[in-house]
Amino acid sequence: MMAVATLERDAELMLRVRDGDTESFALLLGRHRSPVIHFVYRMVQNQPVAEELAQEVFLRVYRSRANYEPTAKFTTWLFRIASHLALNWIRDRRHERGQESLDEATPDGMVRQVSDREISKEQAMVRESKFEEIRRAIHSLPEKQKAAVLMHKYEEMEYSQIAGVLECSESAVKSLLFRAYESLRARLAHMA
Amino acid sequence: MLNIKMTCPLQTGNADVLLDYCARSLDAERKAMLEKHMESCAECREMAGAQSQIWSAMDAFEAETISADFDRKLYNRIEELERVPAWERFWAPVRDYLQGQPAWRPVLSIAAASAVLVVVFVVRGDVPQPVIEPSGAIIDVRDVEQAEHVLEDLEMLRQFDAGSSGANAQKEVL
Ligand SMILES: [Zn+2]
Repeated sequence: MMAVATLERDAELMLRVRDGDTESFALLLGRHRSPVIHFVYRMVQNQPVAEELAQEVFLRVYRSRANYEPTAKFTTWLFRIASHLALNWIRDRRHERGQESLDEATPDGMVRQVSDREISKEQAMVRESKFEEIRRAIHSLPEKQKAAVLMHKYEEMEYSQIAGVLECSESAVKSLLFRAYESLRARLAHMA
Repeated sequence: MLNIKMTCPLQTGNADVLLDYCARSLDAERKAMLEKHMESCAECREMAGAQSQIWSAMDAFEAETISADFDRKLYNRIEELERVPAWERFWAPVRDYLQGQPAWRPVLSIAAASAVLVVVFVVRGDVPQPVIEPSGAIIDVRDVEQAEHVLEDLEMLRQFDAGSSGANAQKEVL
């Protein structure tokens, strides 16, 4: 949940960036680096690409600083740029691949390593297969549904904020989410 | 307050109440009302059960570790950006674009230049983005694209200020 105080703090920092304070940009980056990269990663499902796109997101924020006005929620603007770049990348990629189904494919860069060395091999395998199932199920969602679900589930954004990012009404967001979760429930029913 | 009966959220198009319930973001009063409703509504009970399960199952899709040099790379790019004077940053892509048409150059003001860019934008008919190799490296981000980015970001800000929705960001993919 994005608290009001958080939003005000971001706007305040961005205004300082506008006035040439680079320290404030570092603070903003520190606050939003992980959420942005994680969101883009789950969208494109490729970590190197996610980091490149996230670089572009922050570069665009920096480039637009002179025109920043705190009339909008900073995070909404930030995620709008992020989802915009991620959606474009996905569309271009799909176009390149000639509409082939990526549903079952393992996207590039999806070689995962289990970071926690203490868990057993079996636990790691179970965790890995769960991860893979969820990843594929999310991957199979239409892009806008996917973006809505990722912001709702992993970024804990409210409907109004997701609506701001995706530039649609709150009821459209609820409908996107309803359909997305419906597909996920159907697809992952066996995991229950 | 619990005397107020909740109408079935699934039958009134308010399934978001069930999503909120499973995300544990429902306030205490509505949570109690929904739980009361679910005592007699098998459909909602079933949906909430299934939704709760996938909600927690989705935790398995963990994010990856971020590269240690992410910030350094970003600051290098910002530094590169800063080294170029502002007018040059705007003018260079236009000049590059007009290469091969030198007769135009002397008469182009910045305003005219931006008009040209807008035309480029419209003619191309798409939104520019970085070109990414399979390896993930951004290649060949040309100056024209850079200037387009600036226009695009400003446009996003402008739309934002106007509080408008829709306009030119992303196409509907539902
Ligand atoms: Zn019901």
